[in-house]
Amino acid sequence: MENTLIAFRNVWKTYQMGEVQVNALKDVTVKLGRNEFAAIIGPSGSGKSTMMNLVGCLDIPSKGEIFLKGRNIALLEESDLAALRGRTIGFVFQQYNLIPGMTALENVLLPLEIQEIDDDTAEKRAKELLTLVGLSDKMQNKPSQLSGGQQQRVSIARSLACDPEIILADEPTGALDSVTGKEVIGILYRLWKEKEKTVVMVTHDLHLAGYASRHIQLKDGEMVRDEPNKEQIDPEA
Amino acid sequence: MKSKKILKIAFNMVKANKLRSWLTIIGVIIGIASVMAIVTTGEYFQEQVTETLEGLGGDTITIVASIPFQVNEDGEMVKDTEVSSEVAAETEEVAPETEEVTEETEEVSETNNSDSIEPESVTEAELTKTDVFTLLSIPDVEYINVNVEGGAELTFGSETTSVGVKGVDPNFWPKLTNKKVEQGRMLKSGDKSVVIISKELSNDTFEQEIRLNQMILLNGRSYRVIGILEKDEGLLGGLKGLFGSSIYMPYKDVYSLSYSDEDMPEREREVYDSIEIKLDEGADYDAALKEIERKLRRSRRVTEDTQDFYINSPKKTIESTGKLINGLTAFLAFIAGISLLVGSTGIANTMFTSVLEKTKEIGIMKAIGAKNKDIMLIFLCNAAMISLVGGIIGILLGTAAVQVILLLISIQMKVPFEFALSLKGTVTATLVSIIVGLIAGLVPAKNAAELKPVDALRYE
Repeated sequence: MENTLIAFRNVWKTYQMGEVQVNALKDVTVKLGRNEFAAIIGPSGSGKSTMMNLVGCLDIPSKGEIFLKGRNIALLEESDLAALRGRTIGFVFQQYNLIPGMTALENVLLPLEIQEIDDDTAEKRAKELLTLVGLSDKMQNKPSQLSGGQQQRVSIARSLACDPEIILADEPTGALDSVTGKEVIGILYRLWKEKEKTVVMVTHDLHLAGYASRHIQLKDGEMVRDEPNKEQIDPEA
Repeated sequence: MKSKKILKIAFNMVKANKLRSWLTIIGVIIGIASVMAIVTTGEYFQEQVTETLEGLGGDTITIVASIPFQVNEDGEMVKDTEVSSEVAAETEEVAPETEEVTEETEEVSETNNSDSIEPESVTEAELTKTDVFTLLSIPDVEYINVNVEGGAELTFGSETTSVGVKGVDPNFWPKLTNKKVEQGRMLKSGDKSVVIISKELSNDTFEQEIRLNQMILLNGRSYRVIGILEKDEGLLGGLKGLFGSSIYMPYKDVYSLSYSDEDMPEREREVYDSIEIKLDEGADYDAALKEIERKLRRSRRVTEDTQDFYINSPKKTIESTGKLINGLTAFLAFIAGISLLVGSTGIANTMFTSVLEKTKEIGIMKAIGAKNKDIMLIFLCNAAMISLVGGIIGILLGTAAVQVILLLISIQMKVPFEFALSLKGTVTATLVSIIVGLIAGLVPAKNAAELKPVDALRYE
């Protein structure tokens, strides 16, 4: 399917825990297309994080194949995979994961610098993104001088820096209070709705999953449910 | 990632941990500074010693008569007078080469006057005209100067002191010596009852300065000062004053210096204390040395064991002294190198800590697209910066330390202070500091680069 961005084909992920082999993911086959808002849900230990790492191409499967834009990630050179990941996927982490020594602007500039975008274009883009998430007055602040919600917004701005097709959000509101959390989910919702990004959100919070258009549910490493969310919530409403 | 950005990130990493970076840098500074100081001081000494030795003789070969020592049955060193007197007795019949006398030789023999050789009264080995003729038969020999040394009571005004007097061949000494006159002129053919004196004798010996064209008394006879020599320069220049003579005069005048001491007989004529040889430019130095030795042995009828003369070649001395100083410098630099090694361990340690501390950041950077190469370069640059800063400060401190050492030496030895900076030392220290930094940073940087993003992100 031309529309497919990420495809899992019979993916297994096995960890060695001492003597025991733990199957964190068992035979998962799934496709994520353009302009989808998918929530990967399940209790802790269900394989959500493993799934998230594989979707983000941060790890490779033990068995089976994963295709990112048609390319088998296990066969890519490290540097090619890094470049592809940098251009295709934007990460939003639960703990924001900003570089503490850098200002908000520098944090957003970093992915652009990694992709060797010229300085002027990069700076213009980073400033636009920070303005988009409502932080035009906090560009020179370091993460320690920002609130949790502000940090998460910097993190979202950073994830958008290289204009990726996929935004991968891992418990994006997990560390935030409900009001700030709602603001953040609102931004993600608009990115899907207005910017036509594919948003993949990993969460154990069923209410948060309600904003997504598709639910992929995991249990003990198996995919037990994959269906559209008929009662999608509109945060603007 | 562009190198400019990599450098920026690496620099920020150094800056973010100021204390730790500086502590590491200090380790490098100490190592580099000591290597630098030792290499520069070593080079300086080698230069000075070479200069001094060259000043003492340059490429002039000196031959002195010396009695070989033999070990007797009791294991004592005794002079082998028996052998040498036998040889000396035979010298009259020797000199087979005199027949081949060249034009130049004739000139020498003219200026040397025709005083006869009196070998029969000799009990010790000595150098005579025969030896001069022998040496002149060697094609590579350009000039020959003969020296006769003596001592005398010098009287100037109302003061008197003992001085060393060196008699030289007025024809050839000026061509051979590296001494230069500051005032007046050098000796020349036909000079009689004239002297050239050292600057020290002129200035410092008597209350009144001895000036050009003034008369001085040597053992009661009067001589006119026709030249005053330049002062010897350099660190060890002062030493030459200790060993060197302060009065130079035509060697024939030395024979006739009548001694105040009645017991001392007048010197035998045409017997020299040493013969100095200057070789032609481009002559094979080592081959000429061998030839000189061979011919002299033949004419003096001695073998290697009974050889009664000694050939002193400053070039060899310079070479061996240079090797000695080089060896010493290398040894000291090796010891200083150990502190550099400790410094580099410091860098490695800091880098490992840094990688550990930055694990999560490495994970983040990888997640947002950084390649292994980018991460590796960031950490390598970090290490290189620490070592480069340490290297630069170390070079500056090392250079400063050398100047302090040289200043102290110059005060101690009463010579003018000279700034010394070894190019070799600087280049070596800079290269070593960068290489040390890179090697010390290589393993931690590789570890950082090869972290799996998923593991690095999970690291707390």
